[in-house]
Amino acid sequence: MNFIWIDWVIVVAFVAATTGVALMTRRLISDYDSFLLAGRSLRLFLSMATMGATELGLVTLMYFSQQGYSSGFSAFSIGVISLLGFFFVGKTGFIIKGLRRLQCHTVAEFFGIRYNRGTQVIAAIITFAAGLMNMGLFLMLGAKFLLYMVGLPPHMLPYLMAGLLLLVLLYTVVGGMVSVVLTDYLQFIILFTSVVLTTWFAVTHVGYDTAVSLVEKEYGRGGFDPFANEDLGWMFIVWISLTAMFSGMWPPALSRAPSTVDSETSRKLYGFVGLSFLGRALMPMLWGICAFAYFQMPDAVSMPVENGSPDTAAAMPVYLSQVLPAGVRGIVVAAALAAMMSTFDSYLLCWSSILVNDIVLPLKQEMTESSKIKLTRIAVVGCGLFVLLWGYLYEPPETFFRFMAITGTMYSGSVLLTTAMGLYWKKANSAGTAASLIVAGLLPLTAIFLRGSTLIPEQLQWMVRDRVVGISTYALSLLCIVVVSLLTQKSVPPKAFTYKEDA
Amino acid sequence: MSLESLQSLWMVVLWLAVLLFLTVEVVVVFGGARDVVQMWQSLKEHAEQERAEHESA
Repeated sequence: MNFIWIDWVIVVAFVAATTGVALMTRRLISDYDSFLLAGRSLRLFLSMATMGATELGLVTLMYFSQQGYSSGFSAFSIGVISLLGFFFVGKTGFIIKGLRRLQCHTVAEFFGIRYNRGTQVIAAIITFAAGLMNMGLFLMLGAKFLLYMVGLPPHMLPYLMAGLLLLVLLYTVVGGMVSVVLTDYLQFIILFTSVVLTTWFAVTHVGYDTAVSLVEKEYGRGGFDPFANEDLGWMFIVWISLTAMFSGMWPPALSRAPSTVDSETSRKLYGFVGLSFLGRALMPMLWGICAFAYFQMPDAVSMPVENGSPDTAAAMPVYLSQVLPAGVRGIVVAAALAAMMSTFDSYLLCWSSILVNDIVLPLKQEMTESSKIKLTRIAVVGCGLFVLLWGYLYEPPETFFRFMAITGTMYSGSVLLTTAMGLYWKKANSAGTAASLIVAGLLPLTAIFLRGSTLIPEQLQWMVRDRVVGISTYALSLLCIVVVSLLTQKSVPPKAFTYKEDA
Repeated sequence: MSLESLQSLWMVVLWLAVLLFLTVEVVVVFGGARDVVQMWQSLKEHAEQERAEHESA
C-alpha cells in the first residue's frame, strides 16, 4: 500500500466536508428550479468554478494523460484546438446565447419549441445514449486511478467502483444543483491547486529535457508534429476541430448556461473558463509523457499489464504513486475524488433532467413540483446503476480519449448541429432535423461497435475508423438537414419562434 | 517547421497553459467566495418565501 496515515486523514476530511455541505443545502430546496438550476441564481465566478470543476473530471485527467503517453507532445494540439473552440463560443455566444434567451432547461427542450415533440424525443434519446455510454467509463477509470495511487490489489476495482457510485449518489440525490454548485466550488479549489502541484512533481522527477529526448527517440517527429503522428494525423485534427466548434456544450456543461443570472453571464462564462482549458489538457498530458519517460528508465517499477498488453491508462497513476511525497499523495487523491464527484454528479443530474423534462413531461404534463424532484432523484439512481453495469461490461477498443470523442460526436453531430441550424437557419424544419438526428445518431455507433468486428471485411475496416466516421457524421448530418428541409418546405413548414425576455 | 522549433513551440504553449490556468484559479477562488454568500442568501430568502406562501394557502 502506498498510502500512510496522513494521506488517509486528508482524504477522509475532504469527503466529510463535501458531504456535510451537501446535507446542509437540503433545506434550501423549495421547488424544482432550486433543485435543478440553483434557482437560476449563479453569478459569473461561481459559474466558472462549477463549470471548471465539472469539465476537469478525473476521467479527463486519465484520458488526457493516456493520450500524452501514446502521442507524446503532439497530443498538445488537442488542447490548443479546445482553447480555440472555447474562444469561438465565448466570443460569438454560438448556440448558448440563443438557448439562454429561450429559457430552455435542456437542449432537447429547444426541439419542442423549434421543431416538434417527435424530434424532441429523438434528440433526448440520442443525448441519453451518447451521454450514458460516455459516462460509462467514468467509474472504471476513476476507480483505476485510485486503485493504483492508493496501492490496493487489482481485485478491489469493482468494490471501489460501487463505493464511489454510492458516495456520488448520496449528495446528488439529497441536494440537487445547489449542493453540486457548492461542492463544486470546494472541489475547484483543491482540484486546480493539485493539478499544478502534481505537474511540478511529475516534471521535476524525470526532467523536462529527458522527457523531450525520450519522446523524440521513441516517436521521432510524430512525437511533436500531430500531422506526422500515427495515432493522430490530419483527419483526426479536422475531426477534433469540427467538434471544437461545440466546445463546452456537452449537456452537463451546457446546463450551467440556464443556471446563470442572465445570458451575458452565460457568454462571459465560456470566454473566461475557456482560458483554463489549455492547462486542463496539457498538464495531464505532460503527466502521461513523464510517465512514458519514467517507464523507459532502468530503475522504474514494472509497467501495469492488462490482458497481456501494457495498460497505458494505468501508467500515470502508477508513476504518480512513485514520485509524489506522502501528504501530497493524499491531497492529489482527495482532488481526484473531487474531480470525479464534481463531474459525475453534474452528469447524473443532467441526464436525469433530460429524462424528466424531455421524455416524461411531454407525455405527462400535469406533474407536481415534488413529483418532479422525486422522479429526478429516482432517475439519478437509475443512471448511476446503468453506468456501473456499463463500466463492468464494456471494453473500449482504443485510447479512452478517442472513445470519448466519438461518443461526443454522436451528440454534437446530431443534436447540437441541428440546434445550431434551428437557431440560425429559418428554413430548418422538423423533417430535415429528424433525418439529420437519425443519421448522425446512428453513424458513430459503427465506430464503437463494428470496428474490428468480423461483420466488416478487412479491406473495408477503414470505413469504421473513428476519424472517418467522425468527419462523415458532421458532413452527412449537415447534408441531411439542408437537403431534406429544402425538399419538404411546403409539406412541413418550418416553425417560427420568438425569444423570451431574460429571466 | 524543424523539430527543434516544434519542441520550443510546445514548451512556450505549456508555459502559457500553466499561466492561464493559475490566473483563472486565483480569480475564481476570490470572486467565487463572494458569489457563494450571495447565492446562499438568495436561495434562503426564496425558500422562506415559498414556505410562507405554502402556510398561508
